[in-house]
Amino acid sequence: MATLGTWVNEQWRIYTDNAPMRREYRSQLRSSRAPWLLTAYLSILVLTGAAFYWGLQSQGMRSAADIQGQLRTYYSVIIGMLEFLVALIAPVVATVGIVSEYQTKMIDLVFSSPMSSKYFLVGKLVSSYRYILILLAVSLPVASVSVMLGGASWGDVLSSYLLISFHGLVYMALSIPIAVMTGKPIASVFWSWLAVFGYTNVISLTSVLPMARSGFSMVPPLAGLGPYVNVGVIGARTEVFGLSMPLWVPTAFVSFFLSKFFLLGAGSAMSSAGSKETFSLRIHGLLLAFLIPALVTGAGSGGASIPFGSSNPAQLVWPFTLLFTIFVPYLSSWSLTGGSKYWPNGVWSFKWMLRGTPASGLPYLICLIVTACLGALLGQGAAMKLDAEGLLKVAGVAVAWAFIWSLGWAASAILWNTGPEAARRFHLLFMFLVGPAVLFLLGMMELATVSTGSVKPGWTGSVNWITFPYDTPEVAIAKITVLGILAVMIGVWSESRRRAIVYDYGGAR
Amino acid sequence: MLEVKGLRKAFGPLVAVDNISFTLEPGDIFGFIGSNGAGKTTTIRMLATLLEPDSGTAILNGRDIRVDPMSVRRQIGFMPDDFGIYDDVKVWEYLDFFATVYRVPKVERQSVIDNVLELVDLTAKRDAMATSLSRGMRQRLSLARCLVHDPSLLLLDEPASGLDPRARAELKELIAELGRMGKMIIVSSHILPELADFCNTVGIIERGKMVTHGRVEDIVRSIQQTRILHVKVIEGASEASMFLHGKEGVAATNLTGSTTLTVEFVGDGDMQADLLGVLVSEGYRVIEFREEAANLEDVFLQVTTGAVN
Repeated sequence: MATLGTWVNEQWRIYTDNAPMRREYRSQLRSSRAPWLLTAYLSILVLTGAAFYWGLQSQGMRSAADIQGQLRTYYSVIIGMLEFLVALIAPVVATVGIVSEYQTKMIDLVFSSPMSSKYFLVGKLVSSYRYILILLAVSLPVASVSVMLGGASWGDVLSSYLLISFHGLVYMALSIPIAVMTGKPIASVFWSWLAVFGYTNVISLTSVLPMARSGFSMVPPLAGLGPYVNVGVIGARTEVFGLSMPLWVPTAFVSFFLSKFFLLGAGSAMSSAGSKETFSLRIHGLLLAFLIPALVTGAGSGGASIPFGSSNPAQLVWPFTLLFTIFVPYLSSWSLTGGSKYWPNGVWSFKWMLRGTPASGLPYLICLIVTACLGALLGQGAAMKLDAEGLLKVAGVAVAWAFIWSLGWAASAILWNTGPEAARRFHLLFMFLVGPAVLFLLGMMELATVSTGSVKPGWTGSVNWITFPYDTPEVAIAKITVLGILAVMIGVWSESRRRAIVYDYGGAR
Repeated sequence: MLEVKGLRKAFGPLVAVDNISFTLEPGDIFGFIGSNGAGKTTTIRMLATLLEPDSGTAILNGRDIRVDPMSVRRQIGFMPDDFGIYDDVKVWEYLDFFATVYRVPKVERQSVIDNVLELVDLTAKRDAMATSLSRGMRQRLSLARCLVHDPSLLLLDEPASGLDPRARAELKELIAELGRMGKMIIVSSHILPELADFCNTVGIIERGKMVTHGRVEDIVRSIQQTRILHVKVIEGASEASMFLHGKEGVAATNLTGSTTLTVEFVGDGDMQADLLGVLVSEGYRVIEFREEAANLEDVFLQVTTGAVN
């Protein structure tokens, strides 16, 4: 009971007596830049609306029905512009809030005080979110023109604004770990924009594709998270595990869940080995790995919303694994110079799986894949078939991840003395520059050999993993074998090197 | 009480801090002396729980920095070399921020802020923007920030760097006052005269290793085997010099003027008092008899080699 009381008190303190939040409130609109930024923001909105309206006027006399449709388009343009501006501004506000702590050298003072990372990050997120709400509030007069002209109702406006505010929340939460990890203003804004761009497109892809497949007759549960279909899903209902509900319900749930997940990522990056933030992050990662495939694949709606037209879990999980490779370097990197968090404590440890440290990376990755496949299975219900081929493909996904992990382990074994950041960069560089370059070169070599007639065309297919989920079982087995052998060779080499390095350094801790 | 036990921190092949140990009691002002790059800041950052030690630990009033860093943070006030100040807040807001963070109860915050501002003599600047303060005022504001939660240990990393002589003197007096209030204070610096005035204990660090530490007098004595006594008589300095030559504990005498001389002396306080008694009983009218103040600079130069990491 005392523990519950302590917890309640702590939550109360975090949300009502939060020093970073109060400081941001005090200073957010204090600088001379604030009115200029708000003026610029409103000007863009007004000019966009005015330009569209003048365009309508210049078209001369129109039928009432046509005008009505055009006014709806006017409303869509305003909301679209708002979505764009929020996607542009939210990462900046969130990253500046964090990076300014590094720039003003306040971060040491903050973290030599008894301030938990949760207290700090929640304060930053809520104060940034308040700024987005201010932006939405000041834009209301522009959006209200649509209501006055008849293009939308107040209910439409409020629904759209609700969705935009959720989007802003997720964008900011997504930007915060990036700001924590980079600590530099331009880099953090650039990477945050890139991350928001990637997120909005992936999430829209998973919602728009199923909508298109169903002839726009159904709305998937994640449709509200995408900015591109805001006006299109106003007042829509969706089905989650057979239960019909307004779309904003799963949108709000997933938005808060994602925001929490991203904040935990930032908290984990700030904390030392075995922290509760890392533990919670990994639990939430597993939940997310289950939840997203489950919701994407239909969440009990009979598989109607499968975006990629498949019932094979590998085909559903594979696109996400490609996306998640960005996070693999954070699980596979180790170093002797980054504190106990990065100390290479072995190659495989279930004990540390939820607590971090390098030995937990590989088991956690495998666990993520299994969980994601289970989510995909549950989401599709009866439509899902998990036969031998399905299992083979799932195993293939696991092998691919193990290969990517082995590259990270090798990168750390090479750059063991320069910190984990260097190993991660090296790993990412390899995956996103060298890897594609090798594939391209192989393709070019094939073209060259085809022209001389010395090699049978199509041999590069055996190394092209992009198409793996759609391969025949024979090709899949060949790919798994090749990549598996490579993963083992790289893994064994880097692990033996790690052991030698640790031995030279004075042994295990 | 602070017990530092075998702290070690390496950055790759570079061992920044190697097996450092010392103990502080309430009221101790510990001068942490070393060249740039000697390991002072790394040690202080480990004590501030900002850096994780590779091995060893420190225990502050029973709380281990590795096991219970949050509890330790509640008991320390850390002022880094290059500290930050939010540029868009007023002085009282800056202190209110930290008072909230350190869980000073809401009803007490304003009075705590007023008290620490008075202590550092910044009451007049209460409503000024923090960025409008001079370097010396900022330094005092930062010290006020360290004090809002009444910590038992203050970690001050090069607190007087960049200050003009007056601000430096004011800061020294303030630190001495805090020591008298019973706080343990660790002050790092490479400017030795700055520390000699108000530190009662010092530690000299070189290439991550603590070369020597302890009471200033003890260290000086251990390094300088002979003490220098300055003697001034109304007349007859030359005779006094000859008279003292060969007395117990006197290694050498030097005439420095018509009425002044110095004595190289090996012995304790009692022997010094005896020497003075003999001089007076012999009829010399002594108007000054003092031991030369401990010279940290000489000690530092003697115990260190000048090597850096």
